[in-house]
Amino acid sequence: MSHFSILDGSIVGLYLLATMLAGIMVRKYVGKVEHFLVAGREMNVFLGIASLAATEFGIVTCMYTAQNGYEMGFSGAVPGILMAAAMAFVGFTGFGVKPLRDSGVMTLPELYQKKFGPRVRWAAGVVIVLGGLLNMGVFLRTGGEFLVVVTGLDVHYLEITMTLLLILVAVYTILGGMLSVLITDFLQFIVMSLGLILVTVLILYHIGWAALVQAVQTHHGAGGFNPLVHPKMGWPYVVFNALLNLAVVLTWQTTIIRLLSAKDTKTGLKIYKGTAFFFVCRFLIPGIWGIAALTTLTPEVVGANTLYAMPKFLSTFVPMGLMGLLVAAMLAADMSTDSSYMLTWGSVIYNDIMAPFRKKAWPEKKGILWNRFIVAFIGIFLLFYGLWYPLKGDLWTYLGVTGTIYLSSMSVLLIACCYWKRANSWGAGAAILFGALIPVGFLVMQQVPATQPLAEKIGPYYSGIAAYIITALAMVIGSLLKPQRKGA
Amino acid sequence: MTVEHWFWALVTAAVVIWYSTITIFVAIKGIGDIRDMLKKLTRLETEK
Repeated sequence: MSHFSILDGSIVGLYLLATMLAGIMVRKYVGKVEHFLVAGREMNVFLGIASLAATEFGIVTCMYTAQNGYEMGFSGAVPGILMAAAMAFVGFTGFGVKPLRDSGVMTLPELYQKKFGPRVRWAAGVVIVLGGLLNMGVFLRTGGEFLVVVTGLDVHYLEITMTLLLILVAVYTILGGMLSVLITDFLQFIVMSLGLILVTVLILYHIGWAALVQAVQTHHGAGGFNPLVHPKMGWPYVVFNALLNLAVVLTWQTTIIRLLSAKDTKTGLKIYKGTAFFFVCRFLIPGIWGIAALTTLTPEVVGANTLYAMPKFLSTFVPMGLMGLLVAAMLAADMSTDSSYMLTWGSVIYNDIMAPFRKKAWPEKKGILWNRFIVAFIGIFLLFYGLWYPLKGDLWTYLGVTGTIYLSSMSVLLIACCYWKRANSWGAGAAILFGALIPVGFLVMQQVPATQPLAEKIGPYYSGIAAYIITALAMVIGSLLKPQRKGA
Repeated sequence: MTVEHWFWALVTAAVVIWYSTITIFVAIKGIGDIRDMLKKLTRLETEK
């Protein structure tokens, strides 16, 4: 029986009302496309930290990182440490992102056009939007499933609840664009952080650190503390996650849009430095919740799908009153992610995929109207693809594949664009092609019975590492093969 | 307690302390950032 009460419902209702009002109020400041997409580039450090942290933590993140904690112990939080290290490295050195912000572009493909031409810009836009939207497609249902388990809501209301939530998010994102996203992200960061911190402190106080450590030791042994000795992880897991997280920090559009919305490059880098350690929290806090589920619940209660271990644990562990804050925190996490993702992928559709259709500059009003249509269209896509059409198959593989299709090629393109004079459109085209072929090829190998044993032997981590290495080689070989113009 | 146990104990303590501190800090300073951003956008709009 869930502890969700009328008091908790009131807390959630109040939070939703406050967010909606704040999001709609700032619509009057949107006068130009630049205001809609990058908040007029007037964002300062603390607002940037709140927005980046809120966006990169959704219910889907919480579910998978908690599952990592349940299945791998503390070792499951290692990707968070790697991501924090990658973000700190990029923030302190400006690697990749400094030339990106200095160029004054609004999206990554816009930068690629300067070096590789309009065709690569268009192709990069398509890859980014496809990878991003397919990746995001599963967020809504996973978020709904969390809420159903934690609040004890009738499963028949899942679709209706999440549809209403999406409409709410879409309304303020359509009206206020990035300005609404930033203001609501700020509120959502505070609510989300309060919920995350209080529940974690409650777990540490009531269950105790020693019991958590003991549970990990009993179920996972030394591998629960050190990924290098974990039978399912080892160095390929660490190397793959290091590459993946560096690519995310450099090119994931929802992350770099904060850098591009910052008032200058220095502010953008400060946001990266200030948010870096948050990524340890992002993995370790839900990881501890997952370990708490491992400590307190029997395998019979958890059932076959360990994804639901954490919400099942929270539904009976968190007391009334705090349950309202927890649900508000998780809604905040999901809403900030959804609004930002809708706007971000929309910005690439408008700025890059539609670029060939804008031979002449459009009036600002027309541009804003188109952006609003695109965000609405993405909302409709999410509704039907992610919520009303249940995805079949393994979700983790799905997320990994859609992410790698985008990240391997885009990160190689960014590094080559900024630091290799000889890089050209042939290399960029080859990198985009191979960056997509390898992860998709691996997925196909997993599905075809004849190649299944080989796919299992290779595993997702070696395949992921190969995607980055081969994409980089494709960039080098493709660029060297293209004949150089005389005098170039 | 092994070295790994101590490592995760320290990281967990750092997470709770850092996250609590940054939340308070961002909550206070972020309001100023929002005010400045909206003021600047209003000024740019009226200057047009």
